Amino acid sequence: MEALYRAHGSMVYRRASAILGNEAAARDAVQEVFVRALRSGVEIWDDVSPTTWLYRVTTNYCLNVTRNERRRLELLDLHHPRREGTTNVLEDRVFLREVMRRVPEDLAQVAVYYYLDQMKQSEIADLLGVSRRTIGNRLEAFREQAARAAEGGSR
Amino acid sequence: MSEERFQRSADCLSDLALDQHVAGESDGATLRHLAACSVCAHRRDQLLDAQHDFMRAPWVQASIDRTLPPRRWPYALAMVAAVAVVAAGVSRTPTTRTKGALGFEVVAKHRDGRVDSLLPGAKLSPGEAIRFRLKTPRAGYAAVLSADAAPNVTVYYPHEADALRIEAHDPLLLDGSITLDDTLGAERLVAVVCDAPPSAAKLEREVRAALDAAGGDPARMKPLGTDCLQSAFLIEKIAAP
Repeated sequence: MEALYRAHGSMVYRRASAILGNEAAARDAVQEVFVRALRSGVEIWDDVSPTTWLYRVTTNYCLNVTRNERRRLELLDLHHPRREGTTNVLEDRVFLREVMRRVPEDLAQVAVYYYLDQMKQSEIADLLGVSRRTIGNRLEAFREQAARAAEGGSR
Repeated sequence: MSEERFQRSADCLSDLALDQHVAGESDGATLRHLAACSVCAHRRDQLLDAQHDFMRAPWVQASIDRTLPPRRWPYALAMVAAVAVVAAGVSRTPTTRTKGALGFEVVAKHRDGRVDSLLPGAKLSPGEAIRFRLKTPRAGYAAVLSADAAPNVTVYYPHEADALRIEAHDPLLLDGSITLDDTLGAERLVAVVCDAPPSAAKLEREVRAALDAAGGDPARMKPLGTDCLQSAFLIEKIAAP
């Protein structure tokens, strides 16, 4: 277990911190992801690299955590300042996380990989097993939802 | 992906590619890029430093201690079935994409007769046996080497001068098993798939160089400087209970 943490722990923690924006929650995520790795056993190492598998599981776990906070965030929304433009606000991680909590999971996944991990669209397509065009469409849909959120239209 | 946004150009490697590299899963293209790109090399060094610092954080050891041990038996049964399918020459249909990564699975037969597929960091004892299964996104010639804490480097496959051909997407269970010797401590198993039959002596030198660069500690070895696809797997040998 220690070697598993040594090889991949900092990567899982770094990504969980970026997605969740909360150190304590990121620590919980590390433990949960590795518990899932152990329980998944043989299948996880079968067809993808351990790093790729851990990217997926970390992303999915953290997005689920953020969705569980949605109700609490609805209260925060009342006090969220209005923003101008979409491109710049997507550089704002706090705003990005808020938008990710609101959108469908397939859009949120792509946003994590594109905006937080800064992966290329082709890499995201490979990781998720879909076409690059699909990734482009999902990013466009995400940007539209982010724009609506920035203008206060979805509140 | 630190909170400080990393500024990379469109040609730069993503954190996924760099994380794979740090974990020993990268190929020659990644190594060539790192040799030529100071931005990505700097980011790689950041990730390596973070990896080192991570294990020193007090909460990490507590997290390791709280993490449950694996439920071995279901996996052992699944692995026996998987090995039987591969040994019969029947390829299983992949359930996920494999582009880019060399799949490297280590299967152990324990003293009590259990057979299971190992997770990185698995603890094994001298006298227990391991086998290897490879799955590659592109056809080529495979080799498996070991670096232990002695520190010794051993070529496990191919035997002598025989080339070990592997086809794309077709899992290959290597013939025979390796019985672990008495050297205790970390042992890094390194699998490579090259476009042409690799020179075992050259690969052995590359593993030796990586082990020397890591101060003789297999756990701290970096990927080989080779154009071949490569994947590494760390085990820990402990005295038999």
